[in-house]
Amino acid sequence: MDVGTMLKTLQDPMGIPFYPVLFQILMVITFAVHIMFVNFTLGLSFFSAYGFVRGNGYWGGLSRSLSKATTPNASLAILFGIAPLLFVQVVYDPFWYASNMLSAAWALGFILILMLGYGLTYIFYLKWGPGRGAGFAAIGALSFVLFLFAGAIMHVLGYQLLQPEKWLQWYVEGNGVDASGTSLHAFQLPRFLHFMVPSFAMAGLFLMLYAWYFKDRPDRDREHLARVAGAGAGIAFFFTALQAIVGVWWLFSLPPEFRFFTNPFFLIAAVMGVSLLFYLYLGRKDPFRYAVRAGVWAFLTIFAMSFAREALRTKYVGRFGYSIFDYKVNLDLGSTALFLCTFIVGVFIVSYPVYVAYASGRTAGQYAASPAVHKWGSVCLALLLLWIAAVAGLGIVISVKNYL
Amino acid sequence: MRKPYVISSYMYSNQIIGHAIPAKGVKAERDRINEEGILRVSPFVPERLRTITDGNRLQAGRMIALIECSACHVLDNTGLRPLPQMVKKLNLTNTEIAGSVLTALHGFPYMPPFAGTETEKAALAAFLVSLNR
Repeated sequence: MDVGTMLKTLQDPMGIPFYPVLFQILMVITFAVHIMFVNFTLGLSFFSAYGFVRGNGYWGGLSRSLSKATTPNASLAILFGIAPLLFVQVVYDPFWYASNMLSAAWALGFILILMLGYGLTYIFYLKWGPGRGAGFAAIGALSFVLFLFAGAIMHVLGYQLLQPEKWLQWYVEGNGVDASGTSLHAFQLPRFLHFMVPSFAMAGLFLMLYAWYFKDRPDRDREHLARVAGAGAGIAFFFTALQAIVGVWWLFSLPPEFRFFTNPFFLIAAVMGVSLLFYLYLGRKDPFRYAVRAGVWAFLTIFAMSFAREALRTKYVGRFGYSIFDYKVNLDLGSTALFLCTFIVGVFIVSYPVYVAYASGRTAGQYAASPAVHKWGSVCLALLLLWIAAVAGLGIVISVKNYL
Repeated sequence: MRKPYVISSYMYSNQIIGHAIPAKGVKAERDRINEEGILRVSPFVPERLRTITDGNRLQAGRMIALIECSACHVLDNTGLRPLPQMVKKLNLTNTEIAGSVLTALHGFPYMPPFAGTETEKAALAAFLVSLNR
């Protein structure tokens, strides 16, 4: 059986409920958000452990703040990891499932490793105290290592996926097959580093945004914040420069026949990356002023890089005649409309608690919401109830209809 | 009752599509598998096991068991519903009896029918009997 036929055989014969381009765009967008929080989590867990080792002064205080900031970033990384996972399963199902089955023990182990790392970030944050010995930093460091390990497993699963021509040889063992799923088969260091090195740059950016966020609060030490912002800008610049070098290394490690350096998606992403580096260079002089703009530009760069990643994947899978745009479509407008409504309503509803958290953190003492914000909250609550009624109602109607 | 399906009245627990869904343009796989053979249509089969010979019969049988049985039965002695224990419980001592149990599977309410050619059924039967030691 040739690889192209194998991939077709593994596709879901039911088809997909809407045109593939929708799944592709949503996959790329949600992956960009996911990897940003992954980078924040890795970077912050690293610098919170590093700060603890450095002692009680400036770095110690920062370690406390960063250990606290690691936990919500880890939960957002996990939360936003689900969406691209689901989209990749929809349009790249032959690849994703085969790769997962080949390393099933690790695909499941990933969850345990992640849970352990996530749990340790809470222990590090909640038990944090100046009286603890240097050994306490090991808890923070271990959570960083576990997150890195989890990232390595995801990298392997994502990289095995791109090489369907090797699946059978990985599976066949002597006269039989290896159905244990305990092996990891493919690892590409520059690709892995290209996902991981930005973690440190993003931690630097986080420090810049942290300083910018608290700068107008009268109860915060402006001098301390200036130092944090300066350190953040330096870290962000250095690791973005390193990322550029890793990027070149990774580019040269790609199969030359792809000619990926001529790909428009890659070129846009590369230009954005270089301009981010330039921007961060300027930002070192006035990190408060550049923080938000650099943050926005960094996210747009990650977004462009995510598109480039998908463009590269189409090259890999295109070798066997696979294209998600050939996927069988069984148009289901109802479920697609429900999904998109949920998405839009969900973003709107979440905007309220996010805004309140943002505004209250910027206020010294107790935060009092304005009448407009109160109204916004009431509208969100009403929308949430309406959405629950619509979804639950629809479910009940369909279930009853199915049995009549 | 859900068994023997993973998706009711459509896909068996071993992911073989048992029944067509014309509205979605999905054909049943069973007839094709019975005609061409499970070892021919499955993607993850080593090439040398695609055709059954006297030399590879037990390995081919084991491959079929992996594809069609292992969703519910482990092939080892311990774990979830181990095949060796099932074989001993049913006292499958020769391939004819094992083959007729496989033929009778379509009458079991909670197990999918065997899918494959007669040669493949014989190979699976031989593998099952080999577990009865």
